[in-house]
Amino acid sequence: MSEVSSKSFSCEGCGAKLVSCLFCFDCSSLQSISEESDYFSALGISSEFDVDPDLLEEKFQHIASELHPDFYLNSTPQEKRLSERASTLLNQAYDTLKDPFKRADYLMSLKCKNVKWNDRVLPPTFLQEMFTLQEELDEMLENQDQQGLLKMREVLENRFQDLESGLLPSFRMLDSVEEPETVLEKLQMNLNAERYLRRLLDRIKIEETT
Amino acid sequence: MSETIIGIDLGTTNSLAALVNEDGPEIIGPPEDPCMIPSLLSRNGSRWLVGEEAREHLIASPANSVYSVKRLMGRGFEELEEEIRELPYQVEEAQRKLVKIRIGEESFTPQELSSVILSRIKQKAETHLEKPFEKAVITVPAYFDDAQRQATRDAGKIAGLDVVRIINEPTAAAIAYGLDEKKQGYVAVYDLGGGTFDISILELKGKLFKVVATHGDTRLGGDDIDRVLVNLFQKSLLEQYPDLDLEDPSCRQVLRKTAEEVKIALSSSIETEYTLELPDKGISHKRILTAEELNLLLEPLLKRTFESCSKALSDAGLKKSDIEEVVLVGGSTLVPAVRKGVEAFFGRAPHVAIDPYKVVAIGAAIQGHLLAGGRRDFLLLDVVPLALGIETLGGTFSKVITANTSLPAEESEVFTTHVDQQTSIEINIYQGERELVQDCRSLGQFKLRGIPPMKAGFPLVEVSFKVDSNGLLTVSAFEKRSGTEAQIEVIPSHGLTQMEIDAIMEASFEHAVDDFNRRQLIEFQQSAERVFKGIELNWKVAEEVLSENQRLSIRKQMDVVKQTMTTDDAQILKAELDNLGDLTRPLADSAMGRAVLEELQQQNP
Amino acid sequence: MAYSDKVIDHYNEPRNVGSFDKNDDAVGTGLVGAPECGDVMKLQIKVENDQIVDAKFKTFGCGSAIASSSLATEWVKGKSIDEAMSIQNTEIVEELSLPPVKIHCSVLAEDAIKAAISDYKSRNNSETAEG
Repeated sequence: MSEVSSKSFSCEGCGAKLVSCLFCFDCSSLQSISEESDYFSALGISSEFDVDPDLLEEKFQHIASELHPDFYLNSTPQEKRLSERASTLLNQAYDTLKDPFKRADYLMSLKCKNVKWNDRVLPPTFLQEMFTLQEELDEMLENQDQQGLLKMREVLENRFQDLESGLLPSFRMLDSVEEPETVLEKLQMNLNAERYLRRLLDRIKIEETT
Repeated sequence: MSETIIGIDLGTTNSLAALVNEDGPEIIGPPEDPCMIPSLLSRNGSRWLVGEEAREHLIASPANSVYSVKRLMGRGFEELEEEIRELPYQVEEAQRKLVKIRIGEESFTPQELSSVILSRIKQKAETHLEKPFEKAVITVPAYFDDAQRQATRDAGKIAGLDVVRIINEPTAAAIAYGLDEKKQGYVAVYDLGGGTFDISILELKGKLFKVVATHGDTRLGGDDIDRVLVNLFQKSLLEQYPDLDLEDPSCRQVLRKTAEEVKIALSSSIETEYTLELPDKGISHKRILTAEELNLLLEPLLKRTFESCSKALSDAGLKKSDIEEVVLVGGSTLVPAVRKGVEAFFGRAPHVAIDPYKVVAIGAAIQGHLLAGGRRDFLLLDVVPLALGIETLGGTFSKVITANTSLPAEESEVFTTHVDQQTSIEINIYQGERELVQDCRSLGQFKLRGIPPMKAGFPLVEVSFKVDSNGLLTVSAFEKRSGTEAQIEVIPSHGLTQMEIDAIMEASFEHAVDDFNRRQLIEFQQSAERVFKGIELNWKVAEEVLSENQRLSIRKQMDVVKQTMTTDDAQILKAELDNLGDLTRPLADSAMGRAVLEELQQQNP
Repeated sequence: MAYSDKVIDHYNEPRNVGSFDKNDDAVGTGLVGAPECGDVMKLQIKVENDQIVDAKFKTFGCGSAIASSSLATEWVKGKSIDEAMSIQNTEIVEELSLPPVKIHCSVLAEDAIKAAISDYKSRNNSETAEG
């Protein structure tokens, strides 16, 4: 079982069980936003890494079509405010959960609230490699080496993909082991490495668009 | 029946209003008199000529006439330097680097001038709809920054409109197009208007219209095409008349007007002959321009639009081949070179079924209909066009909300003090995509006050940036250690403060009384002309049915009316006109005169 | 934002950018990274008789990270190894008036100093042991 089980919410008005913690589809009412409202409960999906993109999209559309401020123009100021806030949260939830890297990062923050481990962990010699790559990138940018840049981008993107595809098995394992610390550390290592790679990719992308 | 929320496209060259009625969305007013006016203004004494009636004044009295005011909205004096040089009217620096347009002894903010156009649109729409309304959706270019959006909203406010939503022009077009065609997938909207260029990429999925990326250039449009032509004319004139003063306002207006004509002519033919008439200089300069030559001249402009398109595609993580359809919006897309360029860039023929002039207003009206509760079968999700952030470290720009974040959005950042017992912090807010604040737009300075005195670095002031569904930014602050709300004082860099808006509205209310009198005066003058015409037409009848005395009284009263027509008191004119009506009643009562006079009375109740 | 002039100065004109030969026995190299943002920082010291006589750095990261490492190299120069070891990130925060969101940059600079010193020590201790 998942460490963070999907929370259950009921409507403040009619008491019905909620699909999304932001809105009651039974009595069509906006719900107030509590500390308990996380991105998964906002979208009404269970808090695990394995998210079906189609389901995510469907849920988002379904809930957004009820929450959006466009439908509350003539409502009370309080409802208007609530609709803006709920829509903001829903947008953030959707943007975070549709991206595997952000989703993993967010899920880690939920799972690791009370776990202590080395959060700066990286694969061996990784930092040296990143430093060398940054230096090479500097050189390519200076020499306007477009082919070099293109190649580096491809290499980095492939590594990024590799790291990302390792996330799902790790998260699955996390749910089945007794002592999750080692798996968490491995996950954290992948996420940390992804951030360094992302930084390099961003530099290349900025160059491409200017 | 839901309430009325109209859609207004406040354009650089044309402004128009649309509404959804039983037959669907359409431009307000009958086809022969649609609620659509050129965005032109001319000051005539203490009143405004707006739209078509201002057109001839552009050349006759260029210093008193204003066009393309949209290009000045929400902009600062310094950044407009280049554009101001091109304008025949006088733009001066006002408080806080704002701009004002000087006309004679008066000066006006761009917001006020836009509000005059909006008022006229409102008035025209009210006449056609035969009821007053206040609520409107106004469109802006997608790439308008916060200051430009605020300025547009303020213009609406000054015009007495309740601007319930500001939506992006390409998005409005996509709504009109998407609902019309029931299209799904990725759609690119290429919007080249009079003064601005936008590219928006939307994902149409189920009932959702989701903007995934947007880019643009708020200083690129049909005006620039005209400018390219004006430069060409100037060169050609100088070759023949090296000493000619091209800076002369009326000369500039002639060149601009000819440029527009040449552009339109070359939209439908491969070459055109034009003549630059400068009668006061004794010049009549005749030349030929081919469409081919125009294409070459336009290449650099088009290249800039395609750079924006590439950026938007890359932001969306899409390839050109992912785009299902390219929709053209804006009058400038009627130029064949633009169409060919777009086709070559995207590798597919663009969609041109909906009138590119009207599609934005139509989309805004549909959105207005949804907001009024008239339908809920689609939902528009737009994005932040340009990153919002703060100045940090040596003038670098630190993004708080990145571009293309879905609206509404919120992010926060924590600040602290640098000196012991410091109770206020100043934060400079910027919007843009560049790394240094000097290359971004300054939106204003926020002063956080009321921070409890503590040791330096100890307070944790959480500053929240909220962007609402209109794309408008609000900032709030909260000191986390003490739990106190910090007060924020906003000093807009390029906008008006609430006090300034109030002052303008108060002044415009006084003017409104005056304007009302003038409008009535014009109406009564026109009625009088019609009544005179009717009397002359029926004079033969009058000679038969009225006594000589009666006829004499009518003639006398006609003179009185003529006299009062030259004064400027509408009420007196009305009274005299009524007197004339009384005198002509026996004529109207006669069988022969009745038909004619009845008709006249209907026109003049 | 009222950033101190010092930080702007260090950002605009970073001091001591460059590198030493890392195989030189008198040189200690510290390489650290900030996984929060992907910044990488290399800081090197040159030591003579337990005194740091020179320092160089190269940082790939934001302005605050660059300013922090630039300041760190200035500070360690002329200090003894032990003195340099005692530099705290909070001193860097104070000197540069870094905002809370950028405090990790100063942590990075402190870590880099410590890593460089420990590299120098380990290299020289093992040398002495061998020799």
